Amino acid sequence: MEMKKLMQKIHLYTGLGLLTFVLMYFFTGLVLIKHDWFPDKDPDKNTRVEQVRIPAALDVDETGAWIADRFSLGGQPQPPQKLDDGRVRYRFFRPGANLTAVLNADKRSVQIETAKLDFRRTMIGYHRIHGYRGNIVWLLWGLMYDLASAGCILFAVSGVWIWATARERDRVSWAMLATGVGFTLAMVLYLMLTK
Amino acid sequence: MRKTLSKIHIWLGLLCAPYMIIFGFSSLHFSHDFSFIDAGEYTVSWERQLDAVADTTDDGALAERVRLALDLDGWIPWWLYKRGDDNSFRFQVDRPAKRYKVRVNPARTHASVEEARQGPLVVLNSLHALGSVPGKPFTKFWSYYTYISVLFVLFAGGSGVYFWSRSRNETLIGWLLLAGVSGGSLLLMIFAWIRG
Repeated sequence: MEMKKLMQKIHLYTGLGLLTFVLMYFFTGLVLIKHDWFPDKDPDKNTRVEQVRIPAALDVDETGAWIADRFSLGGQPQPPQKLDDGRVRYRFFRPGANLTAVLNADKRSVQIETAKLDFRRTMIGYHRIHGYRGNIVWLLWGLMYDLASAGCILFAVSGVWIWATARERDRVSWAMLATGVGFTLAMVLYLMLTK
Repeated sequence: MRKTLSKIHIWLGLLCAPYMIIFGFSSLHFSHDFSFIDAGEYTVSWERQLDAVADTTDDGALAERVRLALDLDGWIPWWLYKRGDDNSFRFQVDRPAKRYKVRVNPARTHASVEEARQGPLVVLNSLHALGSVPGKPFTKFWSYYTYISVLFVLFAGGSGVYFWSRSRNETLIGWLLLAGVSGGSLLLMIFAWIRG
């Protein structure tokens, strides 16, 4: 297959296949940077204390997974934090909700806080969640995140390639490409070379 | 109509291609924390006498006064203020490409600065969502470029599907990708929100 056709296929396939994820990242990015368009609201919080009997053989990470499973917390697990007073804080995040479980030092009770997030924080959650941690949902999410990220690069490179090998290239196109590349280089140099 | 849409798609696409590459690359770095990104960083140290920096118990105000006296540009993270037992004061000034660790003596007459100069890949990464940097007026144009790029991607999604739907090429695989992968992604997002 000739290179140009291959690039056209890459442009089309990455565009159609990753459309939803890429659009989601750019829309949620807009929500993130335009705070004045999308103001925050304080989350609705709900706290409860549960008695637990943690199996003795479990380590800190396994205990977090056990608590999440026992109380159906869901969400992507974040690294546990050991507090100075001996308690351990586990956080589980998913778009729309932030769940925190604090295990007492005696390991007999756990305080669970559920915070329901507003539109802005939910969108930011979609934007920020990444990595390969947690159950199959989050592993799949991590894969789609990586594919969408690589797709952005492929989409841009293949688009420029298709334009560069087209029969006609007007002056406006050249000006646009030169502006984009020149401005990016100028910004990098401006940041690196000025005080 | 189609010709006009096609021209806008190509023109804005060429303008925003560098941002899309930076966005994709930096997103991969967020997920995988590539070690090669930090290559090229080095530190230099320097000292300077300060003229008339009025002391105050307000850490934020003191850090800002010293930053201005030293003519440094960037944000001052409030969680990194630190006062020593001898009333010396430490803080940090951050911006893409530079990070300054500043120590001011108890008399507020002398500053020692450790300046970390980051490599070009760290700087490129920081362009993922760069706002206006204090003291660096040119950086506000990057946020305009970011807005244009975001709006272009939203437009490119719609116009790209429109171009594909009007052509007769790649119909089956196109539908499979659009309905299967993109549709499946939408279901994954909804599922993550409800049950994830």
